[in-house]
Amino acid sequence: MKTLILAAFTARELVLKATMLVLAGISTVILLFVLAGVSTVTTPEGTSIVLFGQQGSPPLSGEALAVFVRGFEASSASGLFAGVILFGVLATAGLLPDTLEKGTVDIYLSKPLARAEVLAGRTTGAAAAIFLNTLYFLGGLWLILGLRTGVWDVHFLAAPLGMTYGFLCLYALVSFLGILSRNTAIAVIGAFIYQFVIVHVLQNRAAILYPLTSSEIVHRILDGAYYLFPQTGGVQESVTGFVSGSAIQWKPIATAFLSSAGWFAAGWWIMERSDY
Amino acid sequence: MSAIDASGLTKIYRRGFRGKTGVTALNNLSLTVERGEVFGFLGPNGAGKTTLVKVLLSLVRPTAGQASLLDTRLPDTRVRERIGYLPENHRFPGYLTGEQVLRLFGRLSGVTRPVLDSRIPELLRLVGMEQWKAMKVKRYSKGMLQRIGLAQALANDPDLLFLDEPTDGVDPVGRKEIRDILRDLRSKGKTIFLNSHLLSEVELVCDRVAIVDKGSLLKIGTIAEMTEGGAQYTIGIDGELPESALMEAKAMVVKFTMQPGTLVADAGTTRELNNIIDLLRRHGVMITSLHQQKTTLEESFLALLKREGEAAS
Repeated sequence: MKTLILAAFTARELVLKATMLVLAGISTVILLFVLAGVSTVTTPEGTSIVLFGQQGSPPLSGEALAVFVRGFEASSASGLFAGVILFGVLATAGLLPDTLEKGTVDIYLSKPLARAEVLAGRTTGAAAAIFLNTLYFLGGLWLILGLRTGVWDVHFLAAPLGMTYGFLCLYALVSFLGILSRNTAIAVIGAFIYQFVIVHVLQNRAAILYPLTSSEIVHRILDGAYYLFPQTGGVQESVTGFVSGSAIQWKPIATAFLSSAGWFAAGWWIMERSDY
Repeated sequence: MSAIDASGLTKIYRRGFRGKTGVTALNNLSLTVERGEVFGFLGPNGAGKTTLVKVLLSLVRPTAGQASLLDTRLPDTRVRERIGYLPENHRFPGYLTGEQVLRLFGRLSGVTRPVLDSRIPELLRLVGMEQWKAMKVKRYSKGMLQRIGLAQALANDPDLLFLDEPTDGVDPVGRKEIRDILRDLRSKGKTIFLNSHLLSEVELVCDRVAIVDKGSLLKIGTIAEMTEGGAQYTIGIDGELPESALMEAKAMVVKFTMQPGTLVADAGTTRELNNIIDLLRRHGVMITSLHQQKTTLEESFLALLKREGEAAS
């Protein structure tokens, strides 16, 4: 129960943050833009999409229109995925270091709260805030596209959930760094180095790292390191594929889950053993 | 039935490579605080006062020793439902109002929403913050933060209250109000553990005090016990004291000084004082006034630290 209270408080804290409010504002402007600019015209040849008074597509049959809209939604999900999780990390990286700061941690931990509850409450709240923000934009987009084209593809509604999951995977690493260093900047920089450097190097380890040594043991260690870190790229592919109508790929979701659980557990372990 | 029972608490903060060096913050410290007491915990900076509170609240893990709060062996999360804590230099989320701070930390203390609905206005009234309840705490002054901090510590109606420098930054009127709150809590049977540098404040509200330095307990007792060991009397006299009487008086008391028209004597007991008065009267000296200057807690505290320092060197 107290975890939920802390989660609700955290979500509220984040939603009211200037960065989140700006993002919500930008989302609103884009949604209004799409609402004002996208419409359809139906003729005997089919339905054409009209963008700001200009014909945006040739007349399409009902099925072709559904494919077109689904493709657009999948592209949106794919394009936004990395942005959402990186923005999410930026907005939430300070949560745990701030909580663990002298004068604040004393109050939280003097309450009947286990340290794991503090970690769980903050994490759940962060995930809820990111989910709400993503749902607002993608749900709004889904609603407008549905109203304008008559195509109501529920797969797209899985995107906010998938993006929040991807965010949580990266947040596991961010929370670990935040707990370890008690420093927001280190947590953010660490997450960005991982997302922009380490993840690409490890993903392409066969081309980049294997040639550096012929040792099979080192190759296996590099394979292990790849699975040790949260594979947000795999989650992204899985989510995008699902939105575009493919069957969901469970393997990257499961490996990312195990890796994230490991990072959360490591963060909790450090928290439990630290003096505040 | 003790509120706090600490036995052999030791805390060494490990430093350096692989923790080979360390700073001893608590050194085999044992003490008991009875229920319903207002207990003062005194010591110079770095003496280990805050560390003890943090150990008792499980913020810091002891290196050795054990403790219990309200007869519950630590560490125990549930016992904190009956504990309130006002840390030194506390920080609340700046965008929350005073009322929201009380609601958040009250809920986290395990208080239900309906109970808080009636309790929050009472708490705001108690700490004199009713008119600022809707203001964001980032705009609060230090004194206002202390008041709202005290209110959050009381949100769960705790049986045991830890206060770390509660009057820090509070004006004299506010300090008096906080003292009154503490007295009121004591009358309701609450136990208060007070960390403070303001010894005059401690002297006014505490039943017992402990003095700690370098992590070790130096002395523990009631205020009367702490300040015993003689009082200084200023005796106003009319005329000169004969030389023979002066010599006799000097032999009687530990310390004796004479200024024109005034005698200052450190008398260990009431009997010693009476002996001096008898002596003066025997020599025909007219006594015009008698004024007692008791040793303050601050003087006892400083004297004790000085003695310890000299013994150590």
